[in-house]
Amino acid sequence: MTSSTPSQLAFARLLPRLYRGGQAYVGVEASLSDLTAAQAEVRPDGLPHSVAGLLAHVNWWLVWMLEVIETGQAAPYPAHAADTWPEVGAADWERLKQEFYMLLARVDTHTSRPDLQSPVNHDETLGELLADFALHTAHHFGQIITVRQLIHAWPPASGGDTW
Amino acid sequence: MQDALAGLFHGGSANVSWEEALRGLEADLAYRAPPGLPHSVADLVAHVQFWQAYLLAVFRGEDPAWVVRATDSWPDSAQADWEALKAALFRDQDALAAYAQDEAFMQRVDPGERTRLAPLTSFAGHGLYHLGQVVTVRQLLGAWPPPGGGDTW
Repeated sequence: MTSSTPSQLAFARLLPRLYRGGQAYVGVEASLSDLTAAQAEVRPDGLPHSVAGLLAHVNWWLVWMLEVIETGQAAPYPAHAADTWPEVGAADWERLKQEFYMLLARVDTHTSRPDLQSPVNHDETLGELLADFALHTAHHFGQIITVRQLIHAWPPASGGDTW
Repeated sequence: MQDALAGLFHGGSANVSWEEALRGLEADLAYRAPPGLPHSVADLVAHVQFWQAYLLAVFRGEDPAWVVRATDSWPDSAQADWEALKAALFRDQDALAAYAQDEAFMQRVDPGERTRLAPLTSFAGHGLYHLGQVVTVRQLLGAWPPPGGGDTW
């Protein structure tokens, strides 16, 4: 794929939307809106993570991915999956949301690069790495909706993804 | 890129795979929605499969009707056999992955100058979004991790 192909241009346009949802699944802003800090730290019975915990995990991997991209160095994977699930609570909620949106803005600076086909991490290209983590984000945002349903904090005032 | 895109239909490299996420889940639990949630694993699978079949119909030139309401894309999974439902999901994931790896197909553009990349990636994302919910529903049912582990280390 080169910078001049329709596929490259379509992919560059698509990536920011994949990170934000809003078409094939609920948008990230709606998913995080109208949720108090007290609600965000509630972990439903039978589940391992609160909404805040899920967002902290998404942020952890976005930071990891951006460091790989911005240093141009392949990074080792963490020793344990648990390392990627920071302990967070209500006091962290506003910071976590701000961090998430700042990370999305950093992601945006890379999605339109002309070198999406360049190798960047182990056997992945830049474009593949960006797509993988867009969908990792989507995977956990699907869980954020489920947790919000369980704690009776869904849909937000703006509505969910139904019509 | 096309191999990576094809892989996204099966789960991608950053998530547990669909096959693993459904492993060891028997029909009695697959049809059970946990208290407080609207959907069972079978409902989620039927919904993802609905949209996979839709996209395949588009690719075959069949011009399938767009759904009028969101609920129309949530088939009544109780009417479907669990093994058949899973088989259809995996079969159509393989079919979509094959399209993603078809160089000539991927280069084709429609009259609106759109390539196949956007719908394929978007629909793969839709599947992975609900895959996350499959994991959550299984956790609530006390049926997670699957035999063999899940995506932890």
